[in-house]
Parts: sequence; structure tokens; C-alpha cells
Amino acid sequence: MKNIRLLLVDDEQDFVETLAERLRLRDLGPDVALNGEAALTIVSDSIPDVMLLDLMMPGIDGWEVLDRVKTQFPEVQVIVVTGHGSDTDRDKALANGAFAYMRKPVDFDQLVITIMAAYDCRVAMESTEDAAAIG
Amino acid sequence: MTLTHASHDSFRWLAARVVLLSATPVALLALTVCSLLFTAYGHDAQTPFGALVRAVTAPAQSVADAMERAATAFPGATILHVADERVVQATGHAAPAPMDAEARELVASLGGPLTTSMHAGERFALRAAIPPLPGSPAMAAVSIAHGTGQDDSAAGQAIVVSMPLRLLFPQMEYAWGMTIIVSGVLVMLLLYNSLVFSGYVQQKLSSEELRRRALERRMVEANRLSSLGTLAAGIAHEINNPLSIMTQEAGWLEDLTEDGLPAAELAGKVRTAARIIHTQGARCRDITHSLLRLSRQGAVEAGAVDVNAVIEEVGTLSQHRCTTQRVALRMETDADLPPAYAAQAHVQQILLNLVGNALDAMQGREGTLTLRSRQEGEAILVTVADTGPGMSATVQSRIFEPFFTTKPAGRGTGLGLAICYGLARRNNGALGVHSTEGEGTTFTLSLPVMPSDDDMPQPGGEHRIPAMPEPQPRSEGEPA
Repeated sequence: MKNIRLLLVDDEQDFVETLAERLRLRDLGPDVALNGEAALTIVSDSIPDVMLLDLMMPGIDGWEVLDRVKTQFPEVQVIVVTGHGSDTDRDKALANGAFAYMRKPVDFDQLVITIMAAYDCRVAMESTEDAAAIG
Repeated sequence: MTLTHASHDSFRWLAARVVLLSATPVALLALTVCSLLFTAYGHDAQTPFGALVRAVTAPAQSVADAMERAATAFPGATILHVADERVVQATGHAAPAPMDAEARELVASLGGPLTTSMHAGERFALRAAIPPLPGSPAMAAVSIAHGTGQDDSAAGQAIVVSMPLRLLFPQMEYAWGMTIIVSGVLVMLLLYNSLVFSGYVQQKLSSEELRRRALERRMVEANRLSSLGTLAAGIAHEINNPLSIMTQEAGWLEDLTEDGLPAAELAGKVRTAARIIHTQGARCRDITHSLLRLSRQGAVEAGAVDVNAVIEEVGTLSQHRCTTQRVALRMETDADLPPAYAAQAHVQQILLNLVGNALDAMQGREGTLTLRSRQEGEAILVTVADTGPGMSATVQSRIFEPFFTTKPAGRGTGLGLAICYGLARRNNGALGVHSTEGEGTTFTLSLPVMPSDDDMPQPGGEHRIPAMPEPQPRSEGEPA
């Protein structure tokens, strides 16, 4: 539980920094990326367990990041957090392998719970993989 | 649909002219036929008069006798004795001067004096009155032999009987009177019908016009709302970002209270959070303010419009869509631009439509959207340039047509640009397009410069923008 590797990706610096600060208070010290390129670099350096992803970003946007991460590292659990609220976006994100889709402004407690759930899911995946490897 | 303003009063005159002009050939034909009939009939009717004069005067023994006989046979007639081409004697009513001349002419046409081999009355001539008006005289001349045995070569002895037609044909005045009355009634009927018909046409046109205007007003309104609606989605998202930051900061402040931090550090962190909340709040305020400015119903009356401010607002509201589409938004406004004379709401609506179209055109590709303003003579030019795919000359020539659209079915109504064009024209401006395939499209809106105070148009004068979209200011909550 303690060592969740968490990555926050959002171009709103104020938002992402305060969020990181608050998560740190709850022993979830996350990495922060302010754009898609940085996020992809960090992901390839050290694969995170859970990733919070904004969709609307200049340059490489959230969709592309989601797509690439899910192709290269399907075990990464991606929680999409966006200011966009259409149902089509939601369906598309979930179809593309996102773990959850949350709308801004997000309830912080809800967010923490979702991160935990995503981490549990990640752990469960890993153990089934291990079991499969052993078996 | 042209969205231009045409008075239907001119149509009334047109309709009246159509009726009158279509009646003209009929009237001319009737006139020609009638005059031919009158002439032919009048001539035939007067021929027996000549024969009668001849029959009456031929047996006379002397000039005096002939005149006597003629006066008895034709009461009311003027009888002239012409000798040697002079009027020697006249009886009956005093002969007016032109009658003398005509009598002499008639006698001259008899063709010389009687020869010995001829008998009296052999040479005679008739001058029928054409047109056969009641007052004009029929004239008959008869060469007479005078039985005095004097020199026969004393040529040109003739009796001329001139009789007004009204005495020859007593019914004639009545016939003419009837003719005049009937044609007068016909002319009056024609005029009346042209009035009635043109009134009907005018009424039809004005009710048509009213319906067209109502329809047009609804269309302009629908377009305004849809262009605002497209924006609204983007704006909601735009507001969500600062909102989530503020929520985050509030949570952070809560967290801080639970942390046993030293007072100085706590104060610093709280101050930072407060500053962030302040900044983000201002961001929300800017967005809602420009949206409010834009959705305001009024300002359809012409007045001074700061075009740069409108560009600024439209740019702010479109910023989100630009970012989403990775389109760079550039605004190159001329700082010395004088105000334009137009309706602010119309200018906003036109620019919103143009920017919306430009962004649609650049869908799925990166590009640059440039809003530019500048003055050129008495016009203020606003250009909206995109770096989209551009369009062919065929598309360009039809782009302002109503219902012409290149967007997929269900996406565009094909009315946006037609409405923009109409709005530009209504503000005494113009809207033009220039496009190169593969390079992009530039729309240019030109508006008149606000006249300076001394040649300021009178309120309610011809410079007033026709208050078509909103004849009266609409009250809030009125059912659509």
C-alpha cells in the first residue's frame, strides 16, 4: 500500500502541484508531468502503478498518452481526470483501457479511493501474472 | 432568401402599370377600328348629300334661283355663290372665313367651266366632313349654267352648299354623346381595376414580407443561439479547470489546519493558496463576463462599435476550442482603429460564425487562426484567416448561398454564412471571401467607419439599421 508509484499528468500547474502536495500528506508521493511528452518519458523511465491523466493538453494530448501507455505498458492503471464531460469521451476512454473516468472538479477523497482501487487492481493483475508464470 | 430590404410600395406601382400597359394595346386597337368604321361610314353617309344638292340646283334658271332652291331644300345651310374663284354672295348663316377658302378650293377642283355640250350640274364635287364630328360641315359644289345667254366663257360659276353634319343627321350628337360616355366609363373601370389589383398585390406582398421577416428573425436568432451554444460547451470546460484548482486549494487549506506546521510556514502556504484561488477566480470571472457581454440581447441598434474589443472577446471565447484543436490563435489588431458604425450584436455574431467556420475547416490538423483589423479609407476591415484546406472556386462562388454547406449532413445548416452576409449588408457593410486550395481561406468583413459628430446621421434617419431581428427589445423569458 505504501509504495504506490503514482504519476500525475496535467498541464494546469497550480492544480497538479497542489494535488501532489495533498497526496504527499497521505503518503502517496506522486511524480508530476506537465505535458504529454514529459509523461511518456517518465513512464518509460520508471513504470508507474497508477497514472492520473488529463485529456486536454497542448502537444501530445491525453488520448495519445493513454493509447501509447496502454499499448506499451498495459499493466499501468490510468485514471482519466478531465474538465471535459461528455459521455462519448467517457465511453471512449474506458474502451481505450482507462481504469476510471473522473470529471473535474474531483472530490479528493473519491480520488484517493479510486487510486487505491486502481492499485489493488494492478496488484491483482500482477499476482495472476505471477501465478500464471509459476503455473 | 436575400435578407435585403425591399419596399413593396414600388411593387404597387409596378402592378398598376402592368394593368394599364396590358390594357393599352386593346385600347389602341379599339380606337383604330372605331375611327376606320366612323370614317368609312361617315363618308358613305354624306355621299347622298352631294347628289341631292346637284338634283336641287341643276334645274335652276339663274344663280338666284339656284340659291333659292338650295336654301329651301337645306334649311340651316350656308349657300355660297362662287364666281371667278371669288365668293360673290352668301346666304343663310354668316360664313366664317375658312369656309370661304374651302368653298373656293372645292370649286377649283370642279375642273373648269361648263362647256356648251354639258348640261347643268354635270360637274359637281362633294367634300365630306372627316372625321364626322357634329359641328363640321359637309360641302357640295355644283357648276351651274346661267340661262341669261351671256358669255359662257365667264367661267367658274358655281353654287356651294355647306351644311353642318348635325343638321344632316339629327341623331349624330346622341351617338357621339353615347360614345364619349361609354369610353369614359371604360377608362374609369380600367383605372379602378388597376387600383384594386395593385392594392391586392401590395397586400399580398406585405403579408408575404411580414412572414419572411418573421422567419428571418427566427433564423438569425437560431444562428446566434447555436453559435453561442457551440461556445457554451467549450466554456463550461474552460471554467472547470480553474474551478477544480480552487476546490483543490480549499482542500489543501483544510489539510494544512490538520498539520502541526509552524505559524510562519503555515501563513506562507495559506497566502500562496489564497493567491492561487484569487487568480483562478479572476479567470472564471473573465470567461463569464465575456459570455455575458456576448449573449446580451440588445445592441442591435447601430452605434459606435469598438471592433478590436469584439475581436478580443470572440478570441477569448474561442481560445479553448483553439487549444483543443491545437490551433494557434493570433490577433493582430490595429490600435488606432476608429470605431465602426454598426450593431455590436451583429458584428459579434458574424465574427463568431466566421471563427467557428475557420476552426471547423481546420478540424484534425494543426494551423493558425488569425484575426486582423485595419482601416482602409472609409471602411474598417476585419479579416478571419485560417490555414485550413481552402476551397475550390465553385465552392467559393456558392459559399454565401442559403443551405449551401460543405459540412457533413447533420453538422451544418448551410445558413451561417448566408446569415452573416445578410447581417453585414444590413449594417451597410460587406462580407467577402478569398481562398486558395491547400493554403487556407480568408473572410473579410468590411464595416463603415463611424461618422464624425458634424455629419452624424439623424436618429431614425436612413442610416438607422433596420431593426429587423428585434423590432422591439425583447423581454426576458418571452416564449420563443
